[in-house]
Amino acid sequence: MKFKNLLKYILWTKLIFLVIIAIIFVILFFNINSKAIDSENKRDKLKVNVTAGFQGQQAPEGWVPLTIEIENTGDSDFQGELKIEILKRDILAADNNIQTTSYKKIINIEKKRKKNFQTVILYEKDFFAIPHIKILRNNKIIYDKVLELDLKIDYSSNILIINQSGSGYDFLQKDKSGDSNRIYYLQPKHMSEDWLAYREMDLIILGRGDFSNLNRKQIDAIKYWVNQGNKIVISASGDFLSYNSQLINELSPYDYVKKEMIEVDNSLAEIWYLRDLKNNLLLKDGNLPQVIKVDKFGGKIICVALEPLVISKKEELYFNLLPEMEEKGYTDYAFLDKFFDEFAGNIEYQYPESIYLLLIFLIFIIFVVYLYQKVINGSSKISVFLVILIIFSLIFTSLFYITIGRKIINDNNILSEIAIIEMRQGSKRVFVESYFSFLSHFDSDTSYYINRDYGFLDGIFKKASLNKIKNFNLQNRKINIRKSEDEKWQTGQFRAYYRSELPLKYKLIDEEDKYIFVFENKTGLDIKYLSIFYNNQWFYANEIKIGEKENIDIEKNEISYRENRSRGFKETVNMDSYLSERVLNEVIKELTNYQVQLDERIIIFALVEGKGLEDSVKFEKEGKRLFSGVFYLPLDVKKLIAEEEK
Amino acid sequence: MLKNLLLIIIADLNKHFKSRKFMIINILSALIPALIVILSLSYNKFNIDQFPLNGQLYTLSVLLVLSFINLKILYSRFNFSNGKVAQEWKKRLNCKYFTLYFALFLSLLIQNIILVISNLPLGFMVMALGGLSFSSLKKYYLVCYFIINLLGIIAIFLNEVFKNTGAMITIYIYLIFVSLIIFSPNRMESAIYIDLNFLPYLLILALIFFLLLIFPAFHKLINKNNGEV
Repeated sequence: MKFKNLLKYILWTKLIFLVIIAIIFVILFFNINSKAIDSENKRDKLKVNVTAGFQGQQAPEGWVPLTIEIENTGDSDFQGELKIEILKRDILAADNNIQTTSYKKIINIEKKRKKNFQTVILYEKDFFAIPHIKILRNNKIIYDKVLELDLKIDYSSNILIINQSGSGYDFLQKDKSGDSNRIYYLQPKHMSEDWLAYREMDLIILGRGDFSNLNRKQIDAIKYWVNQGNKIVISASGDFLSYNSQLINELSPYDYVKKEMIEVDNSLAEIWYLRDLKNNLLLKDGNLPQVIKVDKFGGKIICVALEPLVISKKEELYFNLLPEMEEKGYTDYAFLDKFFDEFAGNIEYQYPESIYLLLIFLIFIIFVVYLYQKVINGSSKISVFLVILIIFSLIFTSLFYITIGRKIINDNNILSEIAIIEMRQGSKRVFVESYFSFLSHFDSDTSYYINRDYGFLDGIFKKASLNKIKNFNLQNRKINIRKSEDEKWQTGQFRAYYRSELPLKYKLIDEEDKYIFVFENKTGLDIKYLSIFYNNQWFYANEIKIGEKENIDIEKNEISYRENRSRGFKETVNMDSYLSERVLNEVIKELTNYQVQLDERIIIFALVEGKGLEDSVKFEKEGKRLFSGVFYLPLDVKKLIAEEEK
Repeated sequence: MLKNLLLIIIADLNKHFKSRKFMIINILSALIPALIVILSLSYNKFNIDQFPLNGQLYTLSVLLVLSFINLKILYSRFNFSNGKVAQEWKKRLNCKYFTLYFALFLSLLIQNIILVISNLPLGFMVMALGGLSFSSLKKYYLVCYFIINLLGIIAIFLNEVFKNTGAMITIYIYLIFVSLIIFSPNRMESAIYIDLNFLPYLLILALIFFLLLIFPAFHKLINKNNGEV
């Protein structure tokens, strides 16, 4: 009996155990199955390959190239959205997260097809703000990847080698003077289509590689980078086919005719026979010049025609080509982001003078009085009076709205720019980081754009009312703002990076106990305020209007006065676009804190106002532009005097 | 009845439109909000969550000016007739009280249309200045028109009933009305500072007054109290 009971017990427990197992199995099966169905519904069979920075995901801090390769392996076409977003978390305030969109594009990929998307992003090491690459389908995230790069943060020079092998120039890491350089490699096929991708580079060397398959944008990107006053070296190591490509033809003023190996100083060297425009052969043998420097596109192009194969001689050749340690990157990117609220909050409505509006209104009243007089005199019937008054009011109202009203609306599509203009010694070209704030009337569609050859829009800041902005396409350098759905004024902020021209003429006259700086304003902008920072002192000039000249005396040795650096800023705060004393002091702090070991360094610092720079962001339709700029030009005094003496 | 109705409407409109006082009222009702809005333009500061100030100023000033005109001036005995409006017509046409007051109400509707329409150019000016959106403006005009007509009915009642204290009572009612609008935490729309919660009460009050006016017994009572036969 006992045994029977035991058997029963075992049977029951087994049965219960089996049932439980079966239930778990069924649940798991359905769960997996439902997931499978779900993913099939999504049909998101995408293979995504992200290449960021240069070879080995290495990059300097700042602008880095980014290529996203998406392959649709599914059986149906894919339609969705590609986004690069940065969510900046403020650990102290949970609600104060700022979402920034750096890139947004609607993508269509046919089945079994692959597509490449190229862009540049501003990459900074920030634990609380890591960029995410997202692919969305019907507003659901189906791919989310954190972008992480091997960042090199130091003040050394950056050298980019574009060649096939991705090696061979490591000897440049330490130069003659003992300064260290960062070497980055890039394959020609991965060359960026945006000049900003090369922004952090001090020198680019074109090595052995195939440059014949580059597209127009890739070639232009290099040319625009050179245009910023940069140096590019065309080495002698390339072969005939790649050096007879579009890129080299456009960069070099010479034809690469023939390449040979010769013996120079008992060692082998590669020599290119170059031909100039007049069909003369420049190099017939191993004689000098081995290196030809040409000023082109506003920068320097260095053609190496004879390159030794022995590494020690090669080193010597390239060490001489390295750029001098230049002062660049005075201000950090986006260092004024914290003032964005202030910028946007201080835009003022652009209303016409009250007197004009009153006059318009008085015209209406006069006509109404006239109509009343007719009735009171008995010369008009009341019914006629009523009809005429109503019709006149309606016509007057609509006429007013179509003419003056629309103008007021257009004037209130305001784009306020605060530009940080960086200029280099000896170059007219400037690099501009601009902080834009816009205010858009609820009853109008607006759009802003920047020419792709000149600049890039970055970071739509999503805050408050900006969440309602539906249509913006950063990939095409364009932001569209549709009529507001909740009929509210729309406001928001973004940054723009662009290159432009600022022809400011300056001359330094060296006298015994002082320098005299002579400025000629040919910039097309009013210089409201100009100051010079030298020897820990500030020297000031009066307002320099367009076309005017101004001299500033700079005492060499005597410290005549040390003044608060914010002197005079209060007077200039009420500029077109809002520039507060706080903002100005932040800029000055950024500029003067940067430590570069130079014997004599001068920083020219100016506040400019006017219509804005030529290549800046523009309105597609009508709108009002406000512009204020902080302009800075660091100068090496010795170099400047030497140039003057020349 | 229809004939009497038309007669009274036309006569009342004639009385109004042919007097300079109505013209001045109309001009002032358009000019005061215009001056307030236009002269305050420089005080319009941008705020991310709000409309410019001119929208609020416009809606409030138009509503308050038109309400004041309706309550205090349009049917005040001091301005338009030596005797009581209703009694005069009653004697002359021997019509029902309903016809009489309904006609006065219809006449009021027409007068108020003129007052509201003469504010249209300023309304669209405010729309261009960004103080109000078109849909808000439409809603606002409807509400405003509704409110001022109700206040007009109340004014007719006060004018008929209170002989000596009428002016004081209208001012009290006006002040209550103003405080209901201005000190209200609710808004009709984000740009329009009008609390619509008091509208049903105003409607009920106007209806009660109108119903009282059309009862002959009520008039007998008033006449008795006033010592008239």
